[in-house]
Amino acid sequence: MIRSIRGRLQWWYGGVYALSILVFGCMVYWRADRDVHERATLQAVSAAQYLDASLRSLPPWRLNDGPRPPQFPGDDVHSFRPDFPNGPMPPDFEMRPPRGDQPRENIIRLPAQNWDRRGPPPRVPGDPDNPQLPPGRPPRDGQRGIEAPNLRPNNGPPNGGDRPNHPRPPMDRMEFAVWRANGQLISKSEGELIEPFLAAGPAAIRDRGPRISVLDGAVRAEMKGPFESMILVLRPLGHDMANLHRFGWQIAGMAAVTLFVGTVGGWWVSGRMVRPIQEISKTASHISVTSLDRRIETRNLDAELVQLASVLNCAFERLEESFGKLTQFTADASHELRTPLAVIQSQMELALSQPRSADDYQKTLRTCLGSSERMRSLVDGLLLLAKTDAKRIQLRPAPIDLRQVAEEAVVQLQDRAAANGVELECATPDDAVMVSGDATFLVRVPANLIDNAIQHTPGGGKVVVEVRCEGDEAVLTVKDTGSGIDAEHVPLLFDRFYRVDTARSRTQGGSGLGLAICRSLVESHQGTIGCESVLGEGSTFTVRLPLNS
Amino acid sequence: MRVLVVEDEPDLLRTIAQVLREDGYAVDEAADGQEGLYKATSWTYDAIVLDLLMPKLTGWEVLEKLRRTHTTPVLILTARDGVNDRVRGLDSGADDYLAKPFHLVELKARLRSLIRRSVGVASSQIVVGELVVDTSAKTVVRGETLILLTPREYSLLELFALHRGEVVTRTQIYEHLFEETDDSLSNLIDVHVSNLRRKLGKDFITTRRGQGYILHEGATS
Repeated sequence: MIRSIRGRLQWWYGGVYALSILVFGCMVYWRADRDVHERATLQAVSAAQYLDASLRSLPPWRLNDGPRPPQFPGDDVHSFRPDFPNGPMPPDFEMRPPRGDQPRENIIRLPAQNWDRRGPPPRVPGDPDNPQLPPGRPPRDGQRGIEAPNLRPNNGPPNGGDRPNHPRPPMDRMEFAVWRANGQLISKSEGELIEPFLAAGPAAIRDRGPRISVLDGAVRAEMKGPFESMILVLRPLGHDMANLHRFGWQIAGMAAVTLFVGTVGGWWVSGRMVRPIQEISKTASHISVTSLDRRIETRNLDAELVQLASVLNCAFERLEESFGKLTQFTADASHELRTPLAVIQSQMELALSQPRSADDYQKTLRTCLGSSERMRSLVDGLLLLAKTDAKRIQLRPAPIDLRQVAEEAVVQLQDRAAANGVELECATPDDAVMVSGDATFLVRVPANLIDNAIQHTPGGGKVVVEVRCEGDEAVLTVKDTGSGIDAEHVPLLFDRFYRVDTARSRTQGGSGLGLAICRSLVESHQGTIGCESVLGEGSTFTVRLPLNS
Repeated sequence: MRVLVVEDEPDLLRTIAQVLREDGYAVDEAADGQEGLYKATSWTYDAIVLDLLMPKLTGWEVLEKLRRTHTTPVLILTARDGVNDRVRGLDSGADDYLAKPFHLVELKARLRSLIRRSVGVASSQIVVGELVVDTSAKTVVRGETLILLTPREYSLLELFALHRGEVVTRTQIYEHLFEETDDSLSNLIDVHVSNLRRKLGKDFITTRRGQGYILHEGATS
């Protein structure tokens, strides 16, 4: 099936299709992957900046280990714990509800993110729950706002039941650590991811940052806070990556389904395309010797296939024509062979049917001899034609003088011409007319032509053989003053077994192959043969052969 | 029985004519279609042997023209033995078809069969009273006895037997028994009839004065 057009079409189509789906899928996946990382980076940076801002709102002694004002008793450096229960709320993160009186639910239905967009509850500055806090930024629109860090110890997710009807998507908790300039850990979140970084201590970065690096399973943002403090935020990627992988599998599944549907559709379409071809070949294969007149129907075909079908039809036409010729030739040949055979057989049967005189037997034998002579010449002629047809004739070309060839033929047929009362003349130039050819075969050409001319010229007529040069051609003409040939017969004269006048056929002998043999021989000598004839005045046969320079 | 052979191959024409003459037929020869058609329409033949590929008029054309006026049985004899040729020949009105080369015995058998069928006799043996005329073996038997006849006498008897119960005119006898080259003015018929009467019995053949002869179905010697 691979070698079929349909199969190959299918393979190519399927291949290109699969490739484009693969490329498209990879691009989508890559884009999503970049998206996840960009978002995570953004969030990590925002968180870091948020922490930075939060640190800036702390009293300086907390960060630089300076003298501690007495009005804040009991306050401790280590109590600085920004509230990241659901991740920090970055100041420029679009979590705010749209302006106007949009209900809150609308906001909640924003696309799911690992980021917990609810954040801590809105707080009023001076909340009695957080007496230690510096005054935070006031809520921007009354309901949701960016809050100052909540220094309350992280004691579980707040407001868990704020909107109990909405299940919370799985989320990653951001983790962070803050060091003083001297490397003393001020604060850290709970979590496993941050642990190795705590052990390693703060990284030394020159500028303020933030410096972003993507670790295995997390995005790390580092920046310098106030008083050369160091802020480290880890934004875990676990859930995002899991989501991304799920998305990848979804793409792969859809690609597979699309590929399957496309391939099956393609197979169907290519089948429809190929069906007319199959019908053509079916019709063509049903055309045999007995139904050569059948043709492929081209009415309902596409342009390309019409072309193909026409080519096939033309081929069939030529085949039919040549087959018809072949059949005709076979019938003619068999007729020509069967007639003498019938004579021989009936003569023999007659002779044997009863005792006869010696004279009768002699007569029978003579008749049989004549018939077998005729068959022999016929078979010879057919054999010669078959050989020239198959290019199996063994020509031994040598430079020969066409004058000699013509004269030899004239000498051979002088007696026959005399017997028919026909004058036979030969006109040759003084200079030799050299052609390249095999004398044994070439001499049959003028001989056949002269013999033919004598047959068709009544007593008292004249046959003239002429040899001359014309340009780079040697020309031999045989001209008779016979009855001439009707113009309609001239193109068919050189066909095998073609007889202009069937009346002459038997009594004057001749197998009907003479002119066909002439043409074959002339053509195997790279020459041409033609005939001009005027009815009632005579015919001229002209043979042109290339001169041997 | 008189047969016309139309054949353009002179040797074959001669051979067929000779073999048919030796078989007791009166044979006319024609060397081409035109001559054949002329003879076929001028004389009454018991059968015509016709070649197809002939000069001047092909066998098909001869058949077509002949069939407008005559129903003479025609046996086509040709070297063309393609199915189409045979079908075309038979469709143009030929009664039988024989391809060259052929066996002379087959040609003779087919001719006999053609002639028999043309006068409505199915078997090669014609029974007239006690007499059995075997057209195949060319013999006449009465009971167990073989009656010896000359070929001419036999031919005459066969003609009478084929047309038994009918008057056979002298013209008919001439047309069926003598070739175009024979002298028809002689009293040969009278001689042959009297010879037949001598050999078969006096009352066997009745003379109808001014009409011809008649062989009666129940004729006995």
